[in-house]
Amino acid sequence: MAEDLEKTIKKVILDTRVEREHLLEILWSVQRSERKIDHNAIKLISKLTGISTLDIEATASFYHFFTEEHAGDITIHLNDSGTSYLAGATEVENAFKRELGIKFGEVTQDQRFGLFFTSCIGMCDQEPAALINDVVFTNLTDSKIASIISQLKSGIAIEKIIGEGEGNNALELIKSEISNNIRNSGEVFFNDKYVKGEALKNALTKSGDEIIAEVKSSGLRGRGGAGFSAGLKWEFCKKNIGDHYVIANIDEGEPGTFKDRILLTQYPQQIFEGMTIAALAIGAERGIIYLRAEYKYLKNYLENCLEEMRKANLLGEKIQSSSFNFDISIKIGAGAYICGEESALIESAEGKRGEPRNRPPFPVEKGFLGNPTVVNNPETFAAVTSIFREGADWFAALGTKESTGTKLFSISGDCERPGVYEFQFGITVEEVLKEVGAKNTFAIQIGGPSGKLISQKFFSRKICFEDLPTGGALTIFDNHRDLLKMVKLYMDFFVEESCGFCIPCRAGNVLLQKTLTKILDKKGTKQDIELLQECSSVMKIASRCGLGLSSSNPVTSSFENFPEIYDNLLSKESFVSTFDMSQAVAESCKYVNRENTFNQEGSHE
Amino acid sequence: MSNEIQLTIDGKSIVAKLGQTIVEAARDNNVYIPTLCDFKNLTPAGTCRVCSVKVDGRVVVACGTRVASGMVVENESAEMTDTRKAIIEMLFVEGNHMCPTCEKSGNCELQAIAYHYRITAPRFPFLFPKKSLESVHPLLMLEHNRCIQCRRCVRGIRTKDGKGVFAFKNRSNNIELIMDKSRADDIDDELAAAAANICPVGAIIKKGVGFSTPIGERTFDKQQIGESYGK
Ligand SMILES: Cc1cc2nc3c(=O)[nH]c(=O)nc-3n(C[C@H](O)[C@H](O)[C@H](O)COP(=O)(O)O)c2cc1C
Ligand code: SF4
Ligand code: SF4
Ligand code: SF4
Ligand code: FES
Repeated sequence: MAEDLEKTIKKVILDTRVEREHLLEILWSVQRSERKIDHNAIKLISKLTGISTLDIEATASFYHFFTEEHAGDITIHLNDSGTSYLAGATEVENAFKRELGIKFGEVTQDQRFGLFFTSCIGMCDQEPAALINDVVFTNLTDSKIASIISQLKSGIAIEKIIGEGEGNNALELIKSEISNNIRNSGEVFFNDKYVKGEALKNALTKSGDEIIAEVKSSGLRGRGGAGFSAGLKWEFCKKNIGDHYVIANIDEGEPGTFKDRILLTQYPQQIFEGMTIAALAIGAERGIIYLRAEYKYLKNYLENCLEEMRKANLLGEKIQSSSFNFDISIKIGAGAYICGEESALIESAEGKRGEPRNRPPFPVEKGFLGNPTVVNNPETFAAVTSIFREGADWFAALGTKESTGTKLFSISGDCERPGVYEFQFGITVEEVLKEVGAKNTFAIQIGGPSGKLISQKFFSRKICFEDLPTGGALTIFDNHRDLLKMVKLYMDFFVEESCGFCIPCRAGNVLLQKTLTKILDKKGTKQDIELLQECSSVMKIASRCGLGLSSSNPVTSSFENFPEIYDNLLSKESFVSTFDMSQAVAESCKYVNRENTFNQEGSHE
Repeated sequence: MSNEIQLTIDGKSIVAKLGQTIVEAARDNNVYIPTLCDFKNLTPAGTCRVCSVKVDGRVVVACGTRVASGMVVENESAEMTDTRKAIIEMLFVEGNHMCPTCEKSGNCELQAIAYHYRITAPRFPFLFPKKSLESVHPLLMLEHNRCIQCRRCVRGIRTKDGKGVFAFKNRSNNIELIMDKSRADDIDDELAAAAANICPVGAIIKKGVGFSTPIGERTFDKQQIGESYGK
C-alpha cells in the first residue's frame, strides 16, 4: 500500500516538478487513490517534496474534498444549498440514507460508500444534484437514486450509469448527463458568429496600449460581480514590473450561479482567446484556468480544446508567427467557495490554504507568486473576444451607458424555464421574470446569497451597475416558499465557507445562523432581532474581505424587504428561555436508567 | 525632502514618519489604538480587527495601513468604539474564557482591553464551542478554549533554522491551532517561553510556571492597557 502511494505521489511530482504550487495536485492524487489523506500520507508527501508536515496538514484540512478519514471508495456529495431544497433535496436526502443505511457524514462499514453534503455544485437549473466521485448526477429523484445505488452496488462503473447530456455534454471527452439549458440567443455569446482566432489576429496588429485603450472604450466591466473596468485593471497590471500572469477565475461557487459552466461547455475557445488577448496586452506568457473541483468533469475536454488551439498556433510559442508566446494551464481547486475571491484564488493556485490576502498590494501589483496578475471572470474574457471581433463601438452600443454589452444570467428557482439567458444590461426584473416564465413571484435572491433578497417593489428596476447590480444569478421564490428558511440555508452556506481568518466573519456567521434557528423555532424575541442587526453591522464594517462584508446580506435585505417573515414568528414575551431542562438531563437519565420526568416547561413533576 | 507628514486622529493633529503604520504613528504620539494580533516586527495579519479605524470615510485596520499626508483618522468615534467593543465581545463568545482560573489573567491583553472598554457582559450569546486542552510538548500546553486565532505565534515563533512551529488547520469556526510535533526537539526552554509570551491570551501555556507571578502583581494589575497614553 505504502509503496503504491509513493508511486502515485512520485508520478505527480514527475509530471509537474516539485514546486509548492503543485501541492493541491499531489493532495488530489492521494485523495483519489487512497480515499483519504491521513497522517502517514502527509509524512510521505513531506518526505518526497520537502514541504513540512505542518504546512501540508494546514493546507489539506482547508479544503472540503480532502478528508483525513476514509471517504468511501465511492464518495457521494449531495448539494445541500437552498435551490436544491426548493427542488426537493429532502426526499433525495432520505433516499440516499435509506439505500445506503448510513447518515450523511458517514461511511459504510465496508468503506464502499461515503455520504456527504457539499455546497452548491453549479447545477441549480437541474437540482437536486450530486457528485459521485467526480461524476455529476442531476435531476435526482427517489427512484433514480434507488437505481443508481443498486447499479453501483452491483459493481457497474459510475460512468456507465449516467444518462445522456445535452450539447457538448454528450461529447466523449465530457460524457456527463448535464443539460446546458441555454434559453435564448444573444448578441455577444449565444450565437454562431465566433470564428476561432479572428479576434486574436486582429489584436496582434495592435500594441498592448492600443488593446487596453480598445477594451476601455468598449466600457467592458468585470462579470464576476464587482464590475471593475477590465481595461483599467489591465492597464494597472501592465504598469507593474515582473512576470505577468493572466488568470481566469472559474471558481463559480456563489449558490445560484452556473453561467460560467455553460461558457466552458460550449464556448471555451472564446474564454481562452480573451485570455490570450489580455496576455498580449499586459505582456504575460503564462495563463492559468482556476477551475473549481466541482467542474473537474470538464478538465479533459478543456485540455483538448487548449491542445487544438496550440495546433492552430493560437497558443504556445510564436503565436501566429509573431514574437508573442503564451500558454494556459489548468489548476483544480478542492472545494472552497472563498477561493473565488481573487487573492484567495491566487493563494490556492500557489498550493496554499485559500485565505484572502491583505490589500494593498492588489493582484495587479503582487499576484501569483508575487507577480503582477490579472484575474478576470471567464465571461469577461469571452466578451473581450467579441470586442476584438466586432469592435469596441459595437459593444458599447449594447446595454446601458455605465454597463455596456450583454450579461449572462443564471436563472433558477420557481419558474418554467430555468437555465442560462443572455440579456442586454438595462433589462428590468419584470422583463426577466416574463422571459423565464415565473408566476406569482414573491421574492428574488439576486446575485446569490451575498447579493440581496428583493421584493416586488424592485421588479421595475433595471439590472445594471447603475441601478440593480448583479453577477447575474437570480433565484426566484413564489408565494408558497418559506423565505426565512432560505435565509437560514444561506447562512449555513456562509458558516461552512468562511475561511475563518478574521473574527467578525468567523463568529458573525455562526451567531446569525444560531439566532435565525432560534427564530425559526419560534423562540425568538425582539432582542434577537437587535442581535441580528448588531452582528450584521459589525460584519459589514470590520470584516477583512468580501465574504464577511456581504454574508449578512440575506439577513439584512430580508429584514428590510420582508419584515413580516420575522414578525410573524417572534414571541410576544420579552424573554424566552432556550434552556431545555428535559434535553439537558436526557443523557444522564439514560445512564442512570431513569425516566426523564422533566416536561417541556422544565418543571419537575 | 522631509519624511515627516501630518495627519489627524480624532481631530488631534499629529506628526508621523512616512512608512509608519497608523498604529505606530499613534503610539509615537501618545494616542492609544487597541491591538491584539499586531506584534512588534511581525507582518500585520489583520485577524483581530480590533484596531479598525475609519480613514477618510473607509474602515481599515490601523495595524496594516500606512500613514499618508493629510489623512483623517477616526479612532474613538461612537461608531468605531462600538464596533470595537462588539468585536471584543465576539472574541469572548466564540471561545471559553474563565478568567478567574486562567494562568494569563492579569497579563492577558484580551482581558485588559475588555477592562479598558468597561465591558461587563457581551451583547452576543455565548457559543460554548467544544474545544480541548492539549499537551503538545514536554514544555507546552495549548488551551484551545482561549485561543483568539490571532496568529502571533504562527508568524513569530520559529526554530533556529527558521522553520515555523505553529499553523492553523480547518476553516471557518472549526479553525484550530496545530503545532509541528515532529519539531519537538527544536523547542527548548527559551523558545517555549517565547511562545507563551507572544500569545496575547492564555492559549499557549508554559508548563510549571503558570502562577509564578502572583495575581495582583501582574502587568495589567499595575497599569491598565492604554493608560500610559494620552497623559
Ligand atoms: C467571497 C467571494 C467569492 C467570489 N467568487 C467569485 C467567483 O466565483 N467568480 C468570479 O469571477 N469572481 C468571484 N469573486 C470576485 C473576484 O474577487 C474578482 O473580483 C473577480 O474574479 C474579478 O473578475 P472580473 O473583474 O472579471 O469580474 C468573488 C469575490 C468574493 C469576495
Ligand atoms: S471575511 Fe471571512 S472569508 Fe474573508 S478573511 Fe475574514 S474570515 Fe476569511
Ligand atoms: S485568556 Fe484572557 S480573557 Fe481568556 S480566560 Fe485567560 S485571562 Fe481571561
Ligand atoms: S495560540 Fe495565542 S498567539 Fe497563537 S493564535 Fe492563538 S491566541 Fe494567537
Ligand atoms: S491589531 Fe490590527 S487587525 Fe489585529
